[in-house]
Amino acid sequence: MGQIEWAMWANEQALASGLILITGGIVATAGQFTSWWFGTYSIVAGVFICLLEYPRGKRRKGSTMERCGQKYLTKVVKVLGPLSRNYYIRAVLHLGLSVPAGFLLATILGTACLAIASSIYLLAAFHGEQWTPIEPQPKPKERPQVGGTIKQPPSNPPPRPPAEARKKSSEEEAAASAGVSGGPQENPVPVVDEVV
Amino acid sequence: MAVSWRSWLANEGVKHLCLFVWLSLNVLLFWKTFLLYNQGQEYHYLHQMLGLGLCLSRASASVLNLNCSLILLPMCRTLLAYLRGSQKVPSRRTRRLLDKSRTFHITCGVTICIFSGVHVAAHLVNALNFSVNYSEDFVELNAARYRDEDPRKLLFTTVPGLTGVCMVLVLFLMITASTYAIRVSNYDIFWYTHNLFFVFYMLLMLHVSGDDWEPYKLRRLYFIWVCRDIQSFRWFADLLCVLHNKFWQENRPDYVNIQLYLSQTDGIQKIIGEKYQALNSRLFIGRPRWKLLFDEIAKCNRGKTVGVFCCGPSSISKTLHKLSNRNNSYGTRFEYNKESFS
Repeated sequence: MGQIEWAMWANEQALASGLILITGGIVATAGQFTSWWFGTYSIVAGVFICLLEYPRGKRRKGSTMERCGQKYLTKVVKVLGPLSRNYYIRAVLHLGLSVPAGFLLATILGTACLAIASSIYLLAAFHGEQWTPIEPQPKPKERPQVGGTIKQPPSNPPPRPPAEARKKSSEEEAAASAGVSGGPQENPVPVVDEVV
Repeated sequence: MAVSWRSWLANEGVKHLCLFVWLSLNVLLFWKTFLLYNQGQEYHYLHQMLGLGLCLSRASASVLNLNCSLILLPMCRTLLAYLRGSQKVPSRRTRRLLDKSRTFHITCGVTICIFSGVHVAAHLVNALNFSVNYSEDFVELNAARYRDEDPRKLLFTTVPGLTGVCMVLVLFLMITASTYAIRVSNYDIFWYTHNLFFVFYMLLMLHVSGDDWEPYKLRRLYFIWVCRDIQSFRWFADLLCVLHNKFWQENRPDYVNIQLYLSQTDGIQKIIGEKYQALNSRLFIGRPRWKLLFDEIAKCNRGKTVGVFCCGPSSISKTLHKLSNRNNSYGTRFEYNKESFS
């Protein structure tokens, strides 16, 4: 399990838990069950968690799939600095947020799921992972002119003879003539560098 | 780009047909189960207690049943490879359909997620209603043990509740690890969590077997007690008298039908004491005539299921077991249960 990035899974879990908390909270508040104010807390906590977890962090290796429109939230989450970067802090935060929702039946599943997410974040923190924002890629300022870097035609275009024939013929050529550029390709028409 | 109908039919037709059949099955199952619990006579009192929550939870449960059965089939890769390569599946169309097995698996999976949500929400509301609408009249129907029992206790101290919670957690782990982003970046997590399906199915078996709100609708208890010595009856004589009086007070004198049998005929043949009058008039000398008893019970409970509970030596148990399996002309079914402490 060497290269597993636990934080990514924890992120999915936390986002899902946020949604579960919101749903349970709505049910509790709308149904006006006993201690329904825990339901309201649940909605608020759920929304906060969803906003915090929506921007996906950058993977250590390879490219990361961004969530739709996450760049706006990335800016906000970045501002929090170490509070958002450090996964130990996130683990503790999620554990703390999950406790009040455990008092109500409608939201108790949200508590369990968020607690699991918190433990996976703890695991990620142990592995030294941290949240890096995905920066938008700068567009290359200069586009090279099409064809600007092509000076000579390809030196060994297909159809190519098999490797042994190429080696043999190149030995012959090296012995026979001098100063022919490229490989065994002999251009029937002299090549002139034309800039269009 | 205009669609060529012939191409569309060849490429999409069979797939959409199968999807339509599957969807119709689900809708039918949901609708039928919903109506059964909404209008069925045998669920009338339960429905009064729980309302819409009962119908939604049961209907979603039947849809879940169907999809949990179907979801494993598309993943039987050896079977699919065999079908694909054999003469049994000659047409190219069917072979192309088999290619869609993973998509079907995912469709069933998403359905399971959605209906699990409905099922859990409905049952949480049910637990609340069981607690709030607890009534002394319907003790057997209620999963709660007393009024205003904390519904969270119901969730965690009953077999269906606890297995249900564990299944939700397993499902949560499996779903969060199955998103496209995780599969593409950390396939290991997806693979290892998805193997939790085995745990899920074990829990499901327990969940369904423990979920029995109406084991036997208790209308009458026949209490038959056989002892050798008259003094043995004194163990519970007081308790029996208390019960007898209680049901007399509640105007349900025939709720418990007490029959005491004294199998040894020498010695005292009456329980001494004025207050045991009720028991003495229900005391028979000699062994019970089981066959006649079963016939009488069958006649009084036509077409019903009667639970037989035996606690005693193996000779009685064998007799009762045989009689429980015997045919009777009243359509009554006897379910035999045995417990022994020796």
